[in-house]
Amino acid sequence: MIKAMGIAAAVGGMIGALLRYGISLLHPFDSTISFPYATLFINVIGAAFLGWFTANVGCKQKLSPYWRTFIGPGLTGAFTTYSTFALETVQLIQMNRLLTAVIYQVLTIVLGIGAAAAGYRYGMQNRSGEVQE
Amino acid sequence: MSLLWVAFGGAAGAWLRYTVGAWLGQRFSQAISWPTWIINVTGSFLLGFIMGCASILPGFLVQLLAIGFCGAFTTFSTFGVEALTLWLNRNYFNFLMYILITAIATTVVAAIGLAAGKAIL
Repeated sequence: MIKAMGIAAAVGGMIGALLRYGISLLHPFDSTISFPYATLFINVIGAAFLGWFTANVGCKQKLSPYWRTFIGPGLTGAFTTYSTFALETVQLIQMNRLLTAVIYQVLTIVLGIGAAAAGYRYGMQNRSGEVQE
Repeated sequence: MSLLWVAFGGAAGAWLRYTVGAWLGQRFSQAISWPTWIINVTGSFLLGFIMGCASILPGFLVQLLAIGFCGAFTTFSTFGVEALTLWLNRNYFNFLMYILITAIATTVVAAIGLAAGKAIL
């Protein structure tokens, strides 16, 4: 079971990583002058989606565990990233842009968890009357 | 060509995160999600290390390991939803602790990884 689910996660991860790469190319990050908007955008959008998915689609019995793994841990999990977020923070600190680094951390965490909460609430509101597990 | 390396690394990263998560998930109790924490911390160290010595690595290896593998292995969305779950369960102490220990540990190990990567140059 875990092996087959792992394949679903891998295929989703392939798509998620490509989407993330595509967005990061649109707005490359330079630690000397720019703000890491691309990673912030990716992580907030991904958290909002996973919040909604967890509350709504992820609970529907009609969606098989394979699809849930493909979209949840696979696509969304690989689309968002923590390592790039951490490394960009370190790069900002090394450029003596300490305030920017703190703003980046606080913005990502507050907006990210806020977006997950908003997605979750929206997902809960729109699933009434449906078959749930 | 770079798309292929990112896709391949992304598939490997997501697969390993899912497999490690499923394996660790059965061995830890709930509250703070240690599997996600371990994954995000080790992935942040690895990314720091790779980017520290990126100048001596061929470009495809950076795309495969850094953007593909580390990017997909670590995850922010799962972290966000796990933190939200702690909040919704009124577990405010663990909510704050989970955020703090993740934010601090990932930043510190990324810095250590970066320094270690530069040290082998």
